Amino acid sequence: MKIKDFSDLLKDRVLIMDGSTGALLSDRGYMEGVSAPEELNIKFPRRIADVYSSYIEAGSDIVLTNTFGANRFILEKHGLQDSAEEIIKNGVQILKKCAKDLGRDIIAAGDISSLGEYMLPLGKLSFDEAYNAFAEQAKLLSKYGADIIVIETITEIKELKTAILAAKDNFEGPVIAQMTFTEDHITATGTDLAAFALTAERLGCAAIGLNCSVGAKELSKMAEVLISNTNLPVSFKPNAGIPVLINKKTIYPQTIDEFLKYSLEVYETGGNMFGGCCGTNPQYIQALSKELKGMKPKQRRQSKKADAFYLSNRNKIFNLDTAEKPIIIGERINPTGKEKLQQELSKGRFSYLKELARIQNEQGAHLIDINTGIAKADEAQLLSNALIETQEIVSIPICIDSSSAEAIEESLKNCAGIPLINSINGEACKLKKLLPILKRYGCPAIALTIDEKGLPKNSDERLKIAGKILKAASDFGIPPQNIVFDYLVLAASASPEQTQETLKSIQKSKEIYPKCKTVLGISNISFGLPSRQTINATFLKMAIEVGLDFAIIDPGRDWSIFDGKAKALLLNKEKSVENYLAAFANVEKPAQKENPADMPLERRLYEAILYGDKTSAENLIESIVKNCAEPFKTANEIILDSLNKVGEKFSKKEYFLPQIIMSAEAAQASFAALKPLLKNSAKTLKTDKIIMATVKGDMHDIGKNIVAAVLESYGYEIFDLGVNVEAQEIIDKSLEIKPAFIGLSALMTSTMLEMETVIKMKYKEHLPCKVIVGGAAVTQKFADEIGADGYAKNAVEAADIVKNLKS
Amino acid sequence: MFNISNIKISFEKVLSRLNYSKSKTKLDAKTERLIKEILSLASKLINPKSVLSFENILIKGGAVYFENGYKIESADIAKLLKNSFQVCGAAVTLGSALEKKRDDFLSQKETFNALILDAAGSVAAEEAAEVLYGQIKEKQKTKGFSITRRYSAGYGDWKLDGQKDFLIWLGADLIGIKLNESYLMNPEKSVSFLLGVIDEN
Repeated sequence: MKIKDFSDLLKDRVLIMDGSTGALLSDRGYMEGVSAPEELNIKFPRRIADVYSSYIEAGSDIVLTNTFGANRFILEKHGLQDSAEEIIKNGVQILKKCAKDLGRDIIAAGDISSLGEYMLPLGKLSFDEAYNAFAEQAKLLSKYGADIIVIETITEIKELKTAILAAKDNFEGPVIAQMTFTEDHITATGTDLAAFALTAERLGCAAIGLNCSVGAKELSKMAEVLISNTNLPVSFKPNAGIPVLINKKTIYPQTIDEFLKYSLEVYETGGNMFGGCCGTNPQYIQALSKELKGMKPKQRRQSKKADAFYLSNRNKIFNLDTAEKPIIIGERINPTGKEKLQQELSKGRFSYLKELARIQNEQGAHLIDINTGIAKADEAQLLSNALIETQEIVSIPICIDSSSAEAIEESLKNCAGIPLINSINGEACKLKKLLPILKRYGCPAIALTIDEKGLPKNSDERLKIAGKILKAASDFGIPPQNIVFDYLVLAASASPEQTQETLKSIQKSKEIYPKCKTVLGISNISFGLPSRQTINATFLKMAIEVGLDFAIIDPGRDWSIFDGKAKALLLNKEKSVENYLAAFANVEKPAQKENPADMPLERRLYEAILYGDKTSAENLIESIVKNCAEPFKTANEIILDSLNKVGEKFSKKEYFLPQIIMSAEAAQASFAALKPLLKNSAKTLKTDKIIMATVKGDMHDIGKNIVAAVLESYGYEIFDLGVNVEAQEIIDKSLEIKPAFIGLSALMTSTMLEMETVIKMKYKEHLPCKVIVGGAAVTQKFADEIGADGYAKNAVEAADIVKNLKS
Repeated sequence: MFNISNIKISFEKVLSRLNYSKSKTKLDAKTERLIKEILSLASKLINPKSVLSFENILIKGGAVYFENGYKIESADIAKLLKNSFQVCGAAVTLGSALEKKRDDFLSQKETFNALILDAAGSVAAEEAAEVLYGQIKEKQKTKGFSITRRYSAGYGDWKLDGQKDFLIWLGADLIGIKLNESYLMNPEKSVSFLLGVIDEN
């Protein structure tokens, strides 16, 4: 089916979808003999044919194929991974045969749903793994003749995005995207209705909708919000209320009358397709069909402003047309000239980068620009990982900053929302590479008004390049509102006449390309001048006056400054430079707060560990090794001193467990950084070994890991054998590595007896190591009874006991 | 009716689980922010589900006899249910996504994140059980019944291995709860309990 034909059909009349497949299969006893509903397609085709026929007879125009979980991840759980093609083939063909036999003309909708595993960072699945699974399913649905694809019951926006991309790449017909929402009107992973609508629209879905969720009553309110946030047709497929599982029976509370009542309300607000989800059956669909089949869709009360400038993150959309100007793009995540950020990125870490993101978010940035361009690094991987880490901790959208098409596309795959791209430009080869990416992911981009000839000298040439970019974008079907022109800022000290050209370009751009927004990277303007912020802030005000929309700036600076001499300089007035320099050349910089960088290295390392600053601790080790005569001794003493202070704070309850762990992680990172740096020197680390294990029968991991982390932070070498460890395995490992200590953990009274077995076996093997026990059920009395050398109530006590038993 | 899908994870309860002392612990802004970020992650990873069963009972000696033939031998439970005509069994689970992410953090030595996520899961599971308990109480009240406090296997003389038959009776597998060889529930962030229903008339 062609997308246009489907859209035209929906303009003409309301379509009835089907109801629940799973619940009906259970009700009719059809799940007997199969492990998954999809298996019916190949094992008991008559059963699924019966379900299909029931819905066709009830009046469904759109019936979903029984392929909801026919993806490699779900099928593998049921041992059906080799039957995917047959399952999908039969799923489509049985449905088409049923319709033919009943003499009905229906739309066979290839059903795709969740993979059952979250994508990064919520879970472990990469974009490519998820994409490939969806692509396989979409290809087969296309091959065997599905008319449309319905992606449904998705609760995570990145999974939805991946499924849509895979479906659009492998299926030519219309794709409908449906998500499932909670009573809070967000998905289980935090996405609201407008953010869902924006993503699905931008990725080219033919329609969007809601399914399952919390019953027709609450979902009807959400449908109203969804309809007001999209111009696409909307489907409404609620479950029959939140199910309750009582006495092994699933009970759905909503009656047909109630279900129908709220479905009709959604029709009145402009809904286009109506069906049911879990708990509904052909009677529900018959009731819908009786009231709505073939009806003309209602005119929507309010429609979404199609050409507004929207961005989104995982949670919500941002209409930047309504934001106060300038729209601030926080510029601080850029490694150029920032040694600390460069060091961190070169190690593939992001703590400092995330801190910069958090700070700018709090300081009022509307977007966070992320640039990870450092030498000798895989930028695509680095930018992508930085984005994955950052987008979950800020409440604003991201601006992906790179000149590499590959890095931009990798990041877009991993972005949970619609970001801004920084940047494209007028070079033909760049446009050829980047415009298809912008189109595919539906995101706007900053366009630098330069081309192969370099930076144009005057505003007319810049505007001409802008026109060229706009035309090329339009040829790719990218609307003008998705292009933000950057008319480029040059240092006023070096090219005083260029400031006016830039401002003129902004002004003219607003007249010639009114749908396109404008942006400037402000701080270049003050390069080489004193009191740079005076120039920057004055220039920003001048740019806003001529219509600037976005400013790439540090939101933490004072942007309220306006100075007449700075303005005169920027206007290139006679003697303005002399006047400005006379006024500002000798202005003292405001007194700085005590700069931590001025403190001695030893003190800084001590504080980094005390306050759990892993990145700083790691970086400081490098400096200590370079600058101290006895680096290992120095570092070791400081780390232990600091940890002792941490322990002291813990015993006074000034610190609690999370702070202990943060300090422990910082100390661990310091030791880890110290080892390779000392590898080539005469000094080597000689540390005691400790075996850690949760005893046989006990699966509790976290307590043992906390103790291991704290002991490791003291420099001990930890051999963590995991959970549910056989006594023999602990003894075997002890015989092999000769540890100084064995740490045993047990949470339950039933498993702690296993500790005694380990101790007895230790004595039998004449192992000299000491055994320390701990865990929720263990007491000092019990430890004494079984002959343990020590009992630790918590991780800090464990470290103290180890220290005391050693001496 | 019975709905725990919308439970919230209380920041204060998570702090308290981590032995935070209101009067003594100095929680710095950075640690607080990092904890809240993990709580936000936790709220995305939980998928609370519940299952309930009701059955009339008879108390004889130190045992509770269910109508369908299932029996719990425990003097403590017999005492708890002595005035009850019916038992209500329930289980809640958060699903496995949170635990998978916690284990992922542990394998990457991100112990802080694992610790907070684990604590958040424990608080959420307990909250789910508490919310469900409140809903059961409300529902029974409409029928003129009251309920006893809740009681779980592993406490008093109801041994943990009693969990096996109890969960079978309850149908806990329908929400994905399984037992390992040590009778611990998987997903780990699950809570099961029973309570007695008393006819106040």
